[in-house]
Amino acid sequence: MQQHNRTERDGSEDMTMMGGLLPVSTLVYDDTFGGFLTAVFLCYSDYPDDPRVDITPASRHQPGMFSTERDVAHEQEKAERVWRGLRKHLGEQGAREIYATYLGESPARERLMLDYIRKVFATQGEVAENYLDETARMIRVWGRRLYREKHRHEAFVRFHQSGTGEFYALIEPDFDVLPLIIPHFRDRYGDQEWVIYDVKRGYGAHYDLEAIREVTLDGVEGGARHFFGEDPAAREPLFRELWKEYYHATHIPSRRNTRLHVRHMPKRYWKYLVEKEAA
Amino acid sequence: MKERIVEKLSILADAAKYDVSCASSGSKRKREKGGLGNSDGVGICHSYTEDGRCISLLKILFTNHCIYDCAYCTTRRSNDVKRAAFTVDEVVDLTVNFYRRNYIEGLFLSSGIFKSPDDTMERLVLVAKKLRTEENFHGYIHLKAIPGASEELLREAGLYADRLSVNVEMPTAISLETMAPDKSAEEIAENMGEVRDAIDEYRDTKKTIRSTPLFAPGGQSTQMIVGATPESDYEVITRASSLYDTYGLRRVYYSGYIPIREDNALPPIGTPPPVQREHRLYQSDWLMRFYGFEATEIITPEDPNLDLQVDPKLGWALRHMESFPVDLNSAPYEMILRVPGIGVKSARKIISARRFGSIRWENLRKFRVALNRARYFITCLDSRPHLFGADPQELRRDILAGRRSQRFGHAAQTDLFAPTDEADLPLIGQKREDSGGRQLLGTTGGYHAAA
Repeated sequence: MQQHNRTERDGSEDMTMMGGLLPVSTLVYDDTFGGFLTAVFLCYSDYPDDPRVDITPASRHQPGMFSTERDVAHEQEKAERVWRGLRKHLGEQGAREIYATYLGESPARERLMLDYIRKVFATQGEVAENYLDETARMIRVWGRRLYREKHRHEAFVRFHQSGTGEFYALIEPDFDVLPLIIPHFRDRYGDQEWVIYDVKRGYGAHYDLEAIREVTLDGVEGGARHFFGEDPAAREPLFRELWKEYYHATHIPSRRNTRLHVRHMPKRYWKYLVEKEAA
Repeated sequence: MKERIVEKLSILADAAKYDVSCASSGSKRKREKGGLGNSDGVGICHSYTEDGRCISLLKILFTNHCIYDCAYCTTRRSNDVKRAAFTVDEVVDLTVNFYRRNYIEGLFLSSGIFKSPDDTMERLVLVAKKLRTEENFHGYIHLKAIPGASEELLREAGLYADRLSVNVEMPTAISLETMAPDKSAEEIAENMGEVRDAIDEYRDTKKTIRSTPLFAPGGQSTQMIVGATPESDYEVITRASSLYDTYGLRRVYYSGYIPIREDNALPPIGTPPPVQREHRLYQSDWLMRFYGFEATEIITPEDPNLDLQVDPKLGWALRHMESFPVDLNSAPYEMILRVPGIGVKSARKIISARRFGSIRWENLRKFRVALNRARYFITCLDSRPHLFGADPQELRRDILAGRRSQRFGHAAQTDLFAPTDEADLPLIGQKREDSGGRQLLGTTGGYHAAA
């Protein structure tokens, strides 16, 4: 739990090589988005016109016999230059689709992002509007997937208040959306201290009325107890009961439509929904 | 004490659930320093009922004590139900504490009418005022404007609320008179006009004086009950259309009537709510607001009820075969939008994509066009002309049966798995009803569906 590793995956599924061409150089980056952008920068500066260069995260990297490897750490200046270029051609929104692709954690994401970025720079961003381009389409698909997961978590996060006043929530999102939902919760709940913790990836965000910090379970005062609702605030059980009562009072039995219900609220999200706990 | 509040909530939420508005979108309200909450224009559905409606707001009645005796209403005076009333502080406390736990976007407060319309309205305004001024609450507030309340109170309500709504209740004034003898259609119209005028006035002033306070920034909406009285869809849709025009409404909601007790003037207990009809009405509503359809194109006095079997856009196309096929590589946006199975998003993708190359059949699936319907109404580069010119009745039958007639060959098979407009509803859980033209047609969830 201590070391969060956002891209933990079985390396064997990494099939990023281009058809038939073995990569001659592999840039092994530090698993951060900044590290990836730095690697992209290097593709242009150090390997111009070489389509065989490959980018892979350290967590998934398996040394190959026929390639040279180079470790890449996040370098602010280089990463920012790439990011600025992307924003210039794609706008804020469009560039964020690339970030979303990264947070989607697919083992094929590096290849996809690199292909797309090359096309973006080659066409001055026009590729983004080309709905006939398959690479651009896949990036949009990832953008949409992440947006949907983000939006769901803005909806389905349920805080409970601890005896010391802070609000805690656990999530297990399909993708790594915590970075995407933080701004929403900061804007909305700026007057209360809160922690949202991603159980699956083992890290959380803690807002202390001033700033947001990344935390692990033990990094929070009171530790795991708060997360699991021990030591609740005096009226916490009451409000949970009231919410459940409210939830059940809103159903109209003669209109029951379970298929629609589950489509809107898939069962995998029920685990942390107060209203779905047994009464 | 604790049991009492739980019971109250149960009674007053149950009584409020028939008001179908769930919108929490279309308002912009920033959190002020030290304050709680915001509305960023995009509504959030925090949960869903077992009937698939969105739960976005704490939707309750202040009280279900009522001096009126409206036949369609569960809270009517002569109905033998448990009565309860909140205090102002209880509603404020519930709202704030639900909000802090991320259960809700805000409050939707309505009420039975106790003593008088003004007494009731005053209490609702007081709740909103306390939330805004004492709790520093910037979440969403929807207040029901009690018919017959004074203009002064409505003007105060708008200063605290994001949205105000006055329910027209029935599609026609005659039905209202029969069903709700204590209410008056003129009074309701007057209230709606007052809200409209105040919204316009504040909006105009804001153009020159930036410090003008917000006034119901989420606009005005209304609701009418369908299926309780004998009005046709033609009457419902033309009424809705005129309400949009006259009062600049954000939304008209349609609520399929659910019988609450035996009454000779009403459908008997056990009559299922007209869910499918309600759904078709919402689709028609969408066509008027986002697809450039006139009410008269959707329905006519000669054929005054919607086809429950096919959606109204397909219905229009089948009546206007002369407008098709539409060539996707050259037709204007407005015409592409008229093709059954092509929604706003798909239409935009087509317009954007054709700058880069010609649209082919295979592209359309990826644009999430519902080819099972669209196929009969379009041409593109590798067109399939054998699909056109069928008899509309035959087409209707084929589309409904979900099968292809012989002449379409085996290629049609895979279309069973083609995405539909429903699948294209992009962001599940997000309500976009007021966002202007990004919606797609067709779901099965009634008013929310479209959202």
